[in-house]
Amino acid sequence: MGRRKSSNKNKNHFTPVQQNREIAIVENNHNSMENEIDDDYEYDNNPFVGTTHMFASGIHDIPPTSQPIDTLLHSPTKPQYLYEDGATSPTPLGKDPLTTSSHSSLSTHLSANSTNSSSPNITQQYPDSYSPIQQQTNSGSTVEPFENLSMSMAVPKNKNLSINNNNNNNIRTSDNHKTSSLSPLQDDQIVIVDCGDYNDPWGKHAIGYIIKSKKINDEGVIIEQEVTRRYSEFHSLHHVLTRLLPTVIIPPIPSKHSIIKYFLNPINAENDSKIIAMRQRRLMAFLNHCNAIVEINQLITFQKFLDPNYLWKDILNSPPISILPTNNLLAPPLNPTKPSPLHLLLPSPTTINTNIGKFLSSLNLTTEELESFHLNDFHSFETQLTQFLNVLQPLLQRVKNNKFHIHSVSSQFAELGAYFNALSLENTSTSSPDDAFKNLPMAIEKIGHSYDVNYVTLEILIENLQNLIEEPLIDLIKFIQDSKRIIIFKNLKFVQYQIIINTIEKRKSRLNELNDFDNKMHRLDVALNRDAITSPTVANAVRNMNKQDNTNNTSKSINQDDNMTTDEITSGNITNDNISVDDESSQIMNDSQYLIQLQLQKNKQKLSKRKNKTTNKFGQIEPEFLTKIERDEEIKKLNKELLKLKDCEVLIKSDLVQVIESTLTHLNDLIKFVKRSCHFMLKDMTRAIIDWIKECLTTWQQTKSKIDSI
Amino acid sequence: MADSNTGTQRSSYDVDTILNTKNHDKTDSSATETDQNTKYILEIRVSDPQKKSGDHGTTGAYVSYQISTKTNNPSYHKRKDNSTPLAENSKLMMEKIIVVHRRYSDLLLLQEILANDYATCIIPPLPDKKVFQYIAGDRFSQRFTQKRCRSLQNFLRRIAFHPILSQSNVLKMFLMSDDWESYRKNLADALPSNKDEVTDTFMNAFKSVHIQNEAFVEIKDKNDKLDHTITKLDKIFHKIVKKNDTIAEDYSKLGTNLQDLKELVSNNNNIGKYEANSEDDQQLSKDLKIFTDGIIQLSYGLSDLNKYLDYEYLVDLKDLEHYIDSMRQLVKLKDQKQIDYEELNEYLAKSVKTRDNLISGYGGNNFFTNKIEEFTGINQESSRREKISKLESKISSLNIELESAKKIADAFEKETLKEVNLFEETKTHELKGSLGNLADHHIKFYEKMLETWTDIDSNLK
Repeated sequence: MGRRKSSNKNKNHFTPVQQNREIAIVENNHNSMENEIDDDYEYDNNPFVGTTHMFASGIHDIPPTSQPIDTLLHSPTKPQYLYEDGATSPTPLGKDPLTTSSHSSLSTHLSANSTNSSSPNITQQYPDSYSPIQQQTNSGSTVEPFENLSMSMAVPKNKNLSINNNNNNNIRTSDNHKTSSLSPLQDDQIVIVDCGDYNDPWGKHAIGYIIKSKKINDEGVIIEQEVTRRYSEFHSLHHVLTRLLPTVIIPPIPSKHSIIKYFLNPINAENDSKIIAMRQRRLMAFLNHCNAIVEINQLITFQKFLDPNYLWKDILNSPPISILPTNNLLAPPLNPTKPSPLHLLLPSPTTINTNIGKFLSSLNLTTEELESFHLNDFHSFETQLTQFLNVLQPLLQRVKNNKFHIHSVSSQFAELGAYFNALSLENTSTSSPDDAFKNLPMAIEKIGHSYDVNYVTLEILIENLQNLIEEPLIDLIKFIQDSKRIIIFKNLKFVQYQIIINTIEKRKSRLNELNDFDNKMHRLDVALNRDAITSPTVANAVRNMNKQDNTNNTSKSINQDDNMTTDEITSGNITNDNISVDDESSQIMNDSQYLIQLQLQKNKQKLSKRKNKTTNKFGQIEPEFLTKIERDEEIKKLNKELLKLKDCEVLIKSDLVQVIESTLTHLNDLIKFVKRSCHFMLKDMTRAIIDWIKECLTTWQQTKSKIDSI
Repeated sequence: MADSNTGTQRSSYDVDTILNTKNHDKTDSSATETDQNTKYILEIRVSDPQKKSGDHGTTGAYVSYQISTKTNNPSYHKRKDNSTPLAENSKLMMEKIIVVHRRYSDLLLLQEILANDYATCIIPPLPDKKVFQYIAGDRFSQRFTQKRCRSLQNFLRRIAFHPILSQSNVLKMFLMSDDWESYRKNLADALPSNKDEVTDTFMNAFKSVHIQNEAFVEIKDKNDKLDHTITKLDKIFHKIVKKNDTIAEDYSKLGTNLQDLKELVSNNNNIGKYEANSEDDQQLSKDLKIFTDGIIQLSYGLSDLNKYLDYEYLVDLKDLEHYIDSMRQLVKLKDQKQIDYEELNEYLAKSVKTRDNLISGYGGNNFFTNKIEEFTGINQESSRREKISKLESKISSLNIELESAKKIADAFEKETLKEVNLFEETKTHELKGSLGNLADHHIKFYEKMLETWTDIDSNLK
């Protein structure tokens, strides 16, 4: 079993590499050393580049090993990978100058030329580097992410839930465990074997949960490992998972104590045994849910969590968690810790206030392209999940009420049992020869016993109700609620896309505007120059105009690059010289032109004070108020920006495709999971009810026979 | 003084009643001697409460109960005109069901007559008049009449179980005669009111018996305990009934919720390329339907069981409580007789003492009285003699009274002990019946549920 799994992983490890090789060849055809391509292939993905980390320069100093990848993963001293599928394995740096520049461009992104050249590389790599996960989720070669979730809905093996030891239900559910472990990958069943007081590594008292899981060790043998984690660590793991995997529905964990409760009754192990037992069950379910989701299962953080060789604090302070971006929107969606300079250029919207459907239809896309966004699918998923939520929540409430009511009845039964016993004792005092008098108290006692049994079985029923229905229902509801998170993420991605598209549109129109104006000015210039040949006035005006331009430029361009300004000035001089040759007769014309120019300038000064008016609706200054140099500057800038934006567009598009794909898959899995859970709940509950009925029936039948003997 | 006087009066009145009772018993037993020897089966069923509008518009609406009697007592099967019995064969007689319709006030009258006729018997209690229900206007509700029906049946069955009461001619009349109506009308006014007794009980309420028979101490103690337990049980069952109702309601609501879920599952369509696994969905919606049906069945079963608990078992418990009360009344009455006797005894002792004082000299009178008598010129000697002779006659009459009071008290005690034993027997009988019923109903419920849910389990895939 273990071998199969490891070989599976190895396969995953190699596929992306081979696929990537082709790209790498294309991209790095200047690089003659094909042997190093494998190492190079993710040069831009080393999370340690630019840091002082020991792997910042890659893993070249680590001797090439023939060990399976798991070895690296599970030995604490070995380098720390993000994913064990190798898609993000650190690579040597310094080999390729591009890498350094691309990473230094993280901060100075606008000026970096290299970004442009490397960005297509990045964008092409993303889909490929993620292929292992896609394959795993789509091909069905591995188990569906939620496949064994249903199994983990079952009751913990070690914990005897029922007061009655021979409760068939427990035996059956633990049988479920066994049968489930027959299928591949499910031998990873994680069990919380025990919980209780322990001292954490810092000597603090806490309730620890001992987790037993299986892993494959260096020799490829499955070994069992045991680690103690406390609730807060689970909680932080849960939090970290939501940040690491923005498109995955993270299984829920039991909620924290309410503060009021905490004040009223500070935790101590005995008092809260119920809560602890509940947490033990739910946390175990959580771990198994996680384990069943490939994305989480493969996550090094998760694996380390189960590994006793790591302290959680250390895991938190090491990659990938330590290098998590502050905003997942500005990182590759499926792997946020993989640095990507281009992602940093993306906008970070916080609210979704646009209608995505409207926006998409405004893009004039072909129907096929529109289809690829699966808007309708999302819509129906969302409505379906809301419907489920609307049904499940009252159901939960009902079950809770029912539990409460049954509990009050069962306590009455307990009292009843006591009073019937008292009644039987009172009747025994009659010393009558009659048989009836002798048997009656026994019969009454039997009735009391029946009610005692009723009480006990009802308590078991309550417990089953809680463990088999209420808690899974709460989990389901949390699952569905968590699905909102990934939907929001997806929507934010859409908003990003929209912003990018809009910005491109804006920039383009601005560029057009500027270009148009330039053309216009050029035509005017040509016309003026043509006229200047015949009219000295015009020539004079042109000369003055240029002067004006120059002074403007000098005053304007103080903040600009020195080189640039001098360049402009020299070029301006050149034109000046050219024009100075012009005829004097154009003087009058020139004067009039000059007047216009003056007026314009006055306007400009006036308007610059009230900038709002000179700016158009996009907050830009109308082109006619800019000098030629400024315009040129802006055009240049815009062109650069547009290039970058185009890159971004490609990037966000591919992001979107990934996000949509992943989100849809997970939503679909969620719905399947909900249904499957319902199914299992029904089965479990039926058994619990049957057990209860059987138990009661036998005791009442015995009682009846006793009564009949009177 | 006044007190003891009334006591004397009362006791003489009681002598009559008790002697009457004795006579009655004797005549009764002599008349139906054969009946008593072969204890006849007397099965009574009260059912089918029906609202009837008043016959002549005077009495207003009332509820009539159908009382069916099965008995092998031939006297029940005689015609009104005392002709030959309908059937001699007791089996045939058992098959014949005598049906009459009576209303609550009829039973009340029957109880009154019996209480007057058989003072030493524990007369089974009738359900409360439930004045509140009259005001609230739901005395025709099914729950009320059903419960009362059950309680009336308990009353009649207790009488039938009682060896003396069951032989009463009034009962026979009540159970079979069509003439009851006129019988009742004549009797109703002529019955002596028992207000006297109430005041008497009241006056003696704070007196206690000096020398209590040990057996009665035990009986009282036991009764108190039993009463306490039964009351508690009654209370708990009341709570259980209420809570069971909420649970049954829970389940029916749960059923609706599950129904919603089922509809959701069966209605959802494929989403894009992610086709909903229709086969699984169908299976799930089928499963949900099966489960929902089961839950609804559970709800029904539970409310059925609850109905039994509410309508029958709780009534039985309440009746048992009342019965215990009745027995207490009887014991109290017995105590009263004893108190009467003890007080008479005291009075007699006092009288004897005064007489003795008078005979022995002046010791009894004080100096002051003597002086006054001297002044008035009354012949002291003659007046003394007069007094003595008065006292003598008083004492002798008291002696007779005392003797009869003693007789009554003793007889009463004996009768009461007999009744208490009878009560124990009845109680055991009843407990057996009600507990058996309780178990039966539980078994019925669980059996049905087991069947339903095993079906569900096998149907769930």
